[in-house]
Parts: sequence; C-alpha cells; structure tokens
Amino acid sequence: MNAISVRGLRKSFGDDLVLDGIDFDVAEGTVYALLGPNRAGKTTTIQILTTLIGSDGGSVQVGGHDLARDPEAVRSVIGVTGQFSAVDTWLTGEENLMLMADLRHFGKTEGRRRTAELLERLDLADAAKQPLATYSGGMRRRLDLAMTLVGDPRIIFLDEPTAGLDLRSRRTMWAIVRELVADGVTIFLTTQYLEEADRLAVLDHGRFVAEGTPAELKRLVPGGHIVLEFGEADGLEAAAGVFAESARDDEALTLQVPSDGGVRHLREVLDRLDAATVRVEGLSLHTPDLDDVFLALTGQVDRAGADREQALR
Amino acid sequence: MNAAHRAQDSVTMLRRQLVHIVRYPIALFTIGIPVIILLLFVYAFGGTMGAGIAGVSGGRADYLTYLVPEILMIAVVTGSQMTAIAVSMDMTEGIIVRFRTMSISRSAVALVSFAITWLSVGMGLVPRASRLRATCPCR
Repeated sequence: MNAISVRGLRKSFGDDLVLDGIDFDVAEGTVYALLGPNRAGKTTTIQILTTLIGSDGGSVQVGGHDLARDPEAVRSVIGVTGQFSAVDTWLTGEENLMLMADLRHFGKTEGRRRTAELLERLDLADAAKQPLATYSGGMRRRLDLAMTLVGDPRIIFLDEPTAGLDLRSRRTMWAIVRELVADGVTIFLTTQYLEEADRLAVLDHGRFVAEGTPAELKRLVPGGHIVLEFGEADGLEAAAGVFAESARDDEALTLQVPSDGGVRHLREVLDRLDAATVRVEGLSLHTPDLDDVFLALTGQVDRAGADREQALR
Repeated sequence: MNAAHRAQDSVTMLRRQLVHIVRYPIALFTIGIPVIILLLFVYAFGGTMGAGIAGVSGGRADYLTYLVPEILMIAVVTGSQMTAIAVSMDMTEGIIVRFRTMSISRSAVALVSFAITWLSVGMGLVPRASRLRATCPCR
C-alpha cells in the first residue's frame, strides 16, 4: 500500500517551470527524502501534496484520497511542518498545542493528555508555560513538530526539518522521525543535507535526476579511493610509477589510488609500496558518500548554468 | 466537516484572537486613540471651537454633536486597521499556512477577524456613548 502516489506532476509559475512531470511512490511506514539544491522545486512539491497550492497537471493520491477530488480528506490524514515555524508567538507552548488539540476536536481531557505527553517527548516541559518570545530557534522547531504530531497524522510532511539545528537537536529530530516510522507513520521530507532515509529522490530543475535507496544512489557515482600523502616529490614520483591507474596531485603531494575500500586491497597497496621502498607520510580511505552522489548528480547542471552566466557577461 | 465542528472551530479561533488582544498592547491602544482624540477635542479645544458655532447655547455641547460622526469614523478605521495588522502578522508567521493544511473550517478564520473588528468598534463605542450622555446634559 502506498501512502503517497504521484504521477506526472507538473507545476509552473508563469513562464517558470518548477516541476516538469515527476513520478514517485512512497510506501507506508517509510521515510522518503527529496533532495535537491535551492530552487529545485522541493518546497513546491510539498505545497502541492499538502493541498496548499494546486498543480497544473498529473494525479496525486495521498493516504488513498485523490488530492484534486477530496482535499478535505487528505487534510484529515496529514500533518505538515513547513520551512518557517507555524507557531503562534502570542501563546505559550502549551497553549499552542491546546489550540491544535481543539482544532482536531479532541475535547479538553484528551487534549490536555496529548499536550502533556508531547511536551515531555519533545523536551519542552520546562518551557511549557512560557511565552514563545523566550523560546530559542531549536525550541520553536520542536514545538512546531509537536503541533504537527498532536493530531496523530498517518503521513507527515517535513520541509527542511533539520535546517538551522545544531547537531544535538538534529539527532533528536531524527530519533523522533525513527520512532514515528516504527509506529507505521509515513514521513516525506525535503532536505539539502543528505541524511538517512529509506528512499531518496534527487530533484534538480523540476525533474528527478535519480531515485532509489541510498545504496542504489551510491552505486551511481565512481567508487572510493585511497589517498596517499608524501613528504617529497621523489616519493610521489616513485609511487605514481607503481600504480598506473592512479591520479596524482603535484601541489599537495598526494596520489589517489582507486579502491573498493576493502582490507585486502588496502594491504595489497601497502605491500606494493613496501616492495618499491616508497616512504608514505599519510594515508586516508575514501568511500563514496551521499555528498558525492549529490554533487555528481546536480553538479553537471550547475556547471552548465555557470557557463551560461559566464557567456552572458 | 459538519456544522457542529464548524461552530467549534470558530469558537477556538475567537478564543485565540481574544488572547492576542489581551497580550498585544497595541490592540488596546488602537481602541484608546478615538477616546483620547474625543477627550482632547471636547475638553481642551471644545470651548474655543464651539464659540464659532451659531446656536442657542453655543460652545462645547454643540461642537460635540458636530464632532461625534468623525470620531465614529476614526473608531471604525482603527478597528479595521487592528484586524489588518493581526491578520498580516498571522500570514508572516506561517500559522495560517498550518491552518490551511488542517481539516478545519475555512470560514472560521475569516469570520473571527470580521467579528473582532466589530467587537473592537463596539468596545470603542461603549465608553464614548456614556461620555456623550455625561457631557451633553442639554438634550
């Protein structure tokens, strides 16, 4: 069963084509991350899926409801935490959560119970009765998420949930996301950072340039390598002779040897260096991470754009 | 979305707006402005201004009947101004966006803003009406 199913989604603002026919499915109880550089169309996608703006074409099913025909039913199963905190600054944290509980028609007792539970869970219990003016950025974001969670949504949209958070808050955020997924909630999020998700899609200029599991995406970019550092040019010269397929950097006195990252290959490299009696100052092992994937997939277009700008000048 | 839920949402929104009025001093200030202007023009300038009006009694009381429509106008304008400020602050804070992604009555938010405008105009009028009676023993 798919929580979200999108076919041929298109959207343009005037002449500016933002989404150029994207298709994807999000399985229930998984985390789906939409990656992309600025202005790639991530927020627009979220705005369409959460019924904030209409699309120009394509069909969207959210929680089994058709977005165009029954937006009200879609709204009843989703929760949204946008890029800018959607909290009421004149109310206290507790009052904000009670407001959400009232709008979900839970009744006073149930509303209070949920509010207390969420304040505890998101580490806001101490600040519950304080006005929002005294809240820090991270506390506001946590409250924002708590307000989304009040209604027990089955599908949660998070637009850049970890932007501007410190490392600890970012971990808390991911711990909550994982708890929710364990309860069968579906999470759809956008991010500029590459974090853990069950499936990722890389969006660039309104199109998907890649889609798959993190492991699948990593396979798309060239493999890892070992970087050897040398103290002097002679060593680099000798080592470059030993490894024919390597790439050398004469400035930094380093040599990049392609590697699968395995221990066996690493030992082989060291053995060959010993045999050639080359003195190596340092060594580091690089495996492709999602940053490499992101740069490889979106870099091409950026470079083309930069060239165009260059030509215009 | 049934009628009971719609009414409940409107009440929730109204409660939120009332809390805003209590916590946001400018809201009270906008209600106070017409009152201050009225008092100023009646007690500080009223005698002088009224002297120019030809009438049986002349003076302050006649000038007051002349002044009240303008003050009413100011009350209406400051009231709607306050509503506009409240609504635009909501917009920039993104809370309206949250409401729009929730299964709540669309009319609740707009309705309450409308209600608040007239409530604030009413609140502005109440002390003025009693002031009118107090300062106008001639009628």
